[in-house]
Amino acid sequence: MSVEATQTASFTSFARAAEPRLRRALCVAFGRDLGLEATAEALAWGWEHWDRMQQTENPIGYLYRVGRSRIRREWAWRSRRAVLFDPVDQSGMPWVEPGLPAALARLSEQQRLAVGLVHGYGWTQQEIADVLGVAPGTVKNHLDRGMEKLRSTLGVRA
Amino acid sequence: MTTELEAQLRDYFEAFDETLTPIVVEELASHGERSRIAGRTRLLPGWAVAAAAFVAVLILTGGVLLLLRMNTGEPPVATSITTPPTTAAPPTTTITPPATTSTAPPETTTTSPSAAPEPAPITWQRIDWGVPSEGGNLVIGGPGYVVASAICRKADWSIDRFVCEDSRPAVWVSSDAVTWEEVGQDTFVGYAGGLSDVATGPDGLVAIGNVAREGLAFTSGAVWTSPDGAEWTQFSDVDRTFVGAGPTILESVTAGGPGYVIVGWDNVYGENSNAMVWTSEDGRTWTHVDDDDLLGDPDTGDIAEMYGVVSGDGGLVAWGSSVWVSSDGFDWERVSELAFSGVTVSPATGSFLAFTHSGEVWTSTDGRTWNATAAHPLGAAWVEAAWNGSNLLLAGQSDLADNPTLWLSRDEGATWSELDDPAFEPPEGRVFRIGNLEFQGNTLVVSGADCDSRIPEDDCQGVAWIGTWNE
Repeated sequence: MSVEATQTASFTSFARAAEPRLRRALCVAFGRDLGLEATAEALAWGWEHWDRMQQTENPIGYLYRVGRSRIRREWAWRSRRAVLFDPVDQSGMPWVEPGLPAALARLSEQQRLAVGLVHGYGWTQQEIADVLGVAPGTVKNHLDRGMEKLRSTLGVRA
Repeated sequence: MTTELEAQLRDYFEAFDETLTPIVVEELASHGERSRIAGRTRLLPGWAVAAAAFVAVLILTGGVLLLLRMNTGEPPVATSITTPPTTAAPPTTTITPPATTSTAPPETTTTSPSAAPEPAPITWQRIDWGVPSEGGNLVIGGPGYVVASAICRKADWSIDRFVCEDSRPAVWVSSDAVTWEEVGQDTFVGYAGGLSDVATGPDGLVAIGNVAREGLAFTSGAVWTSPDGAEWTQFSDVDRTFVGAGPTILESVTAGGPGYVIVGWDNVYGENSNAMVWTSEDGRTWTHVDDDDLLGDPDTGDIAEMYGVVSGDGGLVAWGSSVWVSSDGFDWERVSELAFSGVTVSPATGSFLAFTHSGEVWTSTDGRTWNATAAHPLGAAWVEAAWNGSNLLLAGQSDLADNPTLWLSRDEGATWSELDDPAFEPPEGRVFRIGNLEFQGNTLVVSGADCDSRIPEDDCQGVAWIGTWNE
């Protein structure tokens, strides 16, 4: 197998495994539309820089930052606008507290990521720590504060 | 209750996950088409779409495609890394941006720019602001010049390069374009986000932005006014005045209609969007314009988004996903589905000149009827223009990774030549951005930024170029 074919095969294998996790993380953090576009953008960047990516210890975490940065940069430059969290349309979803999507949108990116991935997708705090590039204890803080803020916003007690 | 909340989160995200379509070729192609039609900033530039599409094809077809590529010996996708990756080192790695493709001129084009760029008739001087800023929009007003932009106040180096994690609105003023001073810090410091445009009108300067109050995730529009460029006051209610059916963006402001007109758009959960217009006599009290011609169609996914507005003898012209006209700012008519990347008004004739992504130039005397010209200066996603008599200078940029290009027309936009000046050739690893440009007599001032060309290229420093017209 040629070097090029090996590179292609290794990236294909990586992308198959990384795409669902990357997509979910970016969509939980930034909403569906921005998250999906950022996922595609990050994967494209990862393919183009696969030589570099193979040398990183945490390629999914790296690509998450690439996607996040792309969102911030694109939305901040042309209109010099701040990052928008795209609210989620509740239509077609099971009944949930009506204020939950808005309450989630008011969490910080890290809090939303911790709350959404732990309670929504069953990720471990270590897995989220890898994506964010922080210690697991930091994720726990984001999770606790995020849940506390949700309870406060929604008027429920622990 | 905690268990119930956790159960609701699980149910909510389970349903949410069903809406997250995996990355597929068809979806990427759809994004590209929408961007071309909308005529605005592409989150996915062409090279990314192509590369991501290729990745998706690989994922979908797996070994079949791999086998094909192996058999043909075709290289995967040309990578552009010129130096090895870094880990924690400062951002000295140089990555050449992927080669971009320019849209070929249509066959109907009969006159094209001269083959060899002509020497610039302008002598340039570069002014470094010395602050992390992304350029910004420039207007003549206040003490001389006013730039509305944003300043980065929190940087993140965790991925071995500069990423602006948090910015706030900022305004700079200058009497000579050489010495710049930031003003209004006390007014802007309580907000996150940035200013998108500024205009001079009957009651002074009006700056618009898309901001969030400190600590809140939601972004909404806001307006500040200033009689002199030095003192800035916010009159609009950030939470209520500029709110549409979804997240709302204020794109452009101009003096026109009853005094001032702001255009933008909202996005209804990503399904469709509506153009948004507000008017004001004095910049302090704003009225939202309710007009059916501004609405998109949720049934068809029709997009209605305004990205800019100009005022000419024929009234107001707004452009974006379509073209709209209004004689007074209150009644709007959607007159064309042309997607312009910039529109300017000839000070001599009052006619409108519009530019498209593919480099077409369209003209109109009333904003309603548009005629394609044979000229073909440049294709760019964003175009800014400045007039000096019948001389029209055009700056365009298609992607953040591309350096802007400048074009000059000496005959009201009929023919064009590219200005190839060393002042706009960035050093390796950097790329320039142009925010806006204005002529003041024979002095041309360009607001912009000097940025890291790598992806993500967030390390931007505010720059102004001062050009002296030599003819």
